[in-house]
Amino acid sequence: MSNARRSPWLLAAALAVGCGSPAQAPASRQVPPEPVAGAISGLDAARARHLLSRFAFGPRPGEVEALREQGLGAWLDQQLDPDGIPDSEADQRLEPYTSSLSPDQQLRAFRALRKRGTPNPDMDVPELSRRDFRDLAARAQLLELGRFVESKRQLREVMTDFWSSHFNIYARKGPVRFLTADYVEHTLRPHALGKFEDLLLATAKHPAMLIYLDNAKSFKPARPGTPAAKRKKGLNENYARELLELHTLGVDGGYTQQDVIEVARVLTGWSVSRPGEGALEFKFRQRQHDTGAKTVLGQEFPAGGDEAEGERLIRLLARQPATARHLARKLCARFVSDDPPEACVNSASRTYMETGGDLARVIRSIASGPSFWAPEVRGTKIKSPLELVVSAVRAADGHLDGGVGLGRTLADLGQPLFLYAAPTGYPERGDAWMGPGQALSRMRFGIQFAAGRVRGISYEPDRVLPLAEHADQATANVNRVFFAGTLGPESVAELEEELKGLPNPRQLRAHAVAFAVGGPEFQRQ
Amino acid sequence: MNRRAFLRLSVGASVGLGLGLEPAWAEPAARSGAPHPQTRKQTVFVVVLLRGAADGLSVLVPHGDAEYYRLRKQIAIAPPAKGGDGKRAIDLDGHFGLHPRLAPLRAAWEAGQLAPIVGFGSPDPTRSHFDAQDRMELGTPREAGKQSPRYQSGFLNRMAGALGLVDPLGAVALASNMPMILRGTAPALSLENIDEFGLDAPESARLRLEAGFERLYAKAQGRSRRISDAGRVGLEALRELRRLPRRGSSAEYPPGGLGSNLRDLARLVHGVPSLRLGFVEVGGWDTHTNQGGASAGRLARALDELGRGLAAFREDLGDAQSRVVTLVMTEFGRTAAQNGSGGTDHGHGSVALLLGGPVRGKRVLGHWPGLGADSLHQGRDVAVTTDFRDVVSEVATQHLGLKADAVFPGRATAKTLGAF
Repeated sequence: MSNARRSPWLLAAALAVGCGSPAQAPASRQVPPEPVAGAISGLDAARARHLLSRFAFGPRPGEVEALREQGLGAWLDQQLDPDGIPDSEADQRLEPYTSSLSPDQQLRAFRALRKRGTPNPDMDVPELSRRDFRDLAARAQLLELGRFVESKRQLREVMTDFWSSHFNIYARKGPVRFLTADYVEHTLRPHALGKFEDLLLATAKHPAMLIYLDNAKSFKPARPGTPAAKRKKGLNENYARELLELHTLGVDGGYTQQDVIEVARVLTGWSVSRPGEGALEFKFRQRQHDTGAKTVLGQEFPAGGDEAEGERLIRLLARQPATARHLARKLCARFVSDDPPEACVNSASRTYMETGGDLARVIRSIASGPSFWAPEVRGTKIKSPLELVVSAVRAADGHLDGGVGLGRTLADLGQPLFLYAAPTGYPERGDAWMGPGQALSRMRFGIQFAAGRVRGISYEPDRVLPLAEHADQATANVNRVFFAGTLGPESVAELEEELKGLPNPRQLRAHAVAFAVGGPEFQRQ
Repeated sequence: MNRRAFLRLSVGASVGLGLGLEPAWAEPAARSGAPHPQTRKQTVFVVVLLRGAADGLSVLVPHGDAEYYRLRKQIAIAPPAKGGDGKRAIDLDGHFGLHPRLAPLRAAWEAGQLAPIVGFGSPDPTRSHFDAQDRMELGTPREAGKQSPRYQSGFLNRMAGALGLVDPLGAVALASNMPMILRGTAPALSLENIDEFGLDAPESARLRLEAGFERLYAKAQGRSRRISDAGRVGLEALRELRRLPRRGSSAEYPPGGLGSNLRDLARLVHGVPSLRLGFVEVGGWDTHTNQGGASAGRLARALDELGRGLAAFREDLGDAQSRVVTLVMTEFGRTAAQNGSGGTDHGHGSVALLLGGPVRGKRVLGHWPGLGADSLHQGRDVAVTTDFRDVVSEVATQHLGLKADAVFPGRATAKTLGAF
């Protein structure tokens, strides 16, 4: 424990440098000039678990030990280059959740279904029932969650979850429900650790976003008296406003209502293909586009522009210092503390500006910075329902079982997937996730998990949690599996006390797992 | 009733429960040294949300408006007549009448405890059920040229916060999932059925698990206060629910979810002194086809259940009726004209019902926008002349004694209907 009392700054320096990784240059940028190399030889279990609880969805058995062996720097190098991590086992396990039908085929099959009784004009799409569609949608939505559970590229998955909220979409708006899997797989995940401006541009052009925030229906202002004016077609500021307020600059980012209007004008014509125009995808409509001159944040966008001026705008927004700060604050809230320390925000924001918005570098600066390693932030974040479920399944070395029940479990815990209507996305702050009713749901989840009754997942208790005769053994087992052996002596004693007097080993194990997963300690990370 | 008195009440309800552990939410009152539990009962607000866009023009029939009969040749409800045959509108004020299947609400009207609100709705232009419901529950409708508010909590949850509720049985949704309207940081509970609520374990194991969790959460106080409080308070609520007496009541609820939910809610009003907010939801209003008229069709069936449910709730409340206000609302209305399938499509404005002892009823509230071509919203729907937030704010201030901006902070309330 003596290490924990050292200056956090020195500790972080030691962690970042003393791990013998082959590619230290980016990490060492974040440390003070003369680090005390070798001050500690590696990570203890508590720190390793801290890292894997925040920058992964919790450890699977053995991963804490592996990380301690590997060292922080090497782990970050590996996780920040996810394509270098073989992940075919995850692909296999997620096979039941992928559809052979493209989003567009699903949409056309759905439209055919809605015109019941008329023959299906699309020869290349099968006839599907309502039930088929429910199943299809449930599976598509589980694909993202499934990767959180299964993938070895954990850091990228954590960031995918982060971006899912930051660039929230809502499955119940029009055809968005057919697009959630595509949006995550082809837009958020590939750019999750890349350049922010590429990610931003990809979301701006994805039909799910264009439909969700109405930009597809934003038209250049119509001249009075024309048919377009009669149909009340005109500028829709919805996406433009959220782009500035939520996606880039932040609410205090120094833009005006006029900027919102000008941004909306620049993005007129960023729309989607209509039925009959081919597959549902991004389509720029020059006739819908406002070709007048615009000014955004003082930058001129001369008259006569086309699709390219929108791309210029997106990149301009991504490079603003206010954007750097807004993202740095949100990332530090996610990884460090609900009320992020200024030091973390400053450092992450500086790295963002220095690297042109290189997300991997920003994340490395947070993961190796002193704020993250300060002992007082450890275990202070309340898990979202999603984090609770995924971390429990991973801890028990479990997997998705090919069924769709897990979506319902998430809904029961208060976090149905892709169903947060407001563009802010699910809240990051723990107090939104922990009230009396929610605590009861978590206890209920613990009991169901212990009984092997959580639908959609499976694990092998006999392999992971051998039967024990006595309360102390049973406590030690759940401590090892669910807490990497890091439970404090008080918590161990409290848990053991509750397990005394249970008559047989199976009951002992069931109670131990229920109390461990549904109890207070597993709700935080 | 002030906050301190309320806290005293909470303590009264929980004394002797906690295995020697002081309930987390009783601490402030314990410090105040409250001598006796308060006996005065408090005001309650109930929201009944009709999910799926109920057809306001059938709930409250504008039988005095000739346009209504022109727009709805097959599905209009016939105007009232002497000695009505149960298939005609029940006249209220010479211009409006209740759907005949809402006849059970006549008693509330006659007693001055029912006030329908015409032109009720949300300014949000969406015609998506889910979008409209979520934005209504959050209180974040979009309005042209205005920034929509950024609330991350449902408006009933903000009410719970403003009321200073600390007991989760202060705000209860009778629903399997916590609805958006009650999500947020203030304590609240959702449960589908009082008698089946619990930790979902075999009876033999349940008590041990409950007691175990209660101790584990209590002892975690020093490590995470928020988690510890949430767990302990949740388990307290569970136990309080289990002790709720069953009531012998002659009220006849209709079979089905709505009746069961309203029966449970009445039980909570009578048995849980800290209850201030209740929520019930019921679907089946999306009548694109086979909407029907006075006695047959989907809408008549749904209204039958609603009318009988609300009437039974009123009877079951008995004297408590004097402190309970119920707002029945829906996310948007339906097209003024019938469609080609004997139904109606997604529209805009609808009707709300305000019920309860404190309501100055036997009046139709709000401004009737009319059904003429120039009066209709976008040429097809009933216009919205009363913003749902104004009604909710009026209940908050007049009935619950909250400040005007407590529920929709940052929004100036423009209008009051004089409903109380």
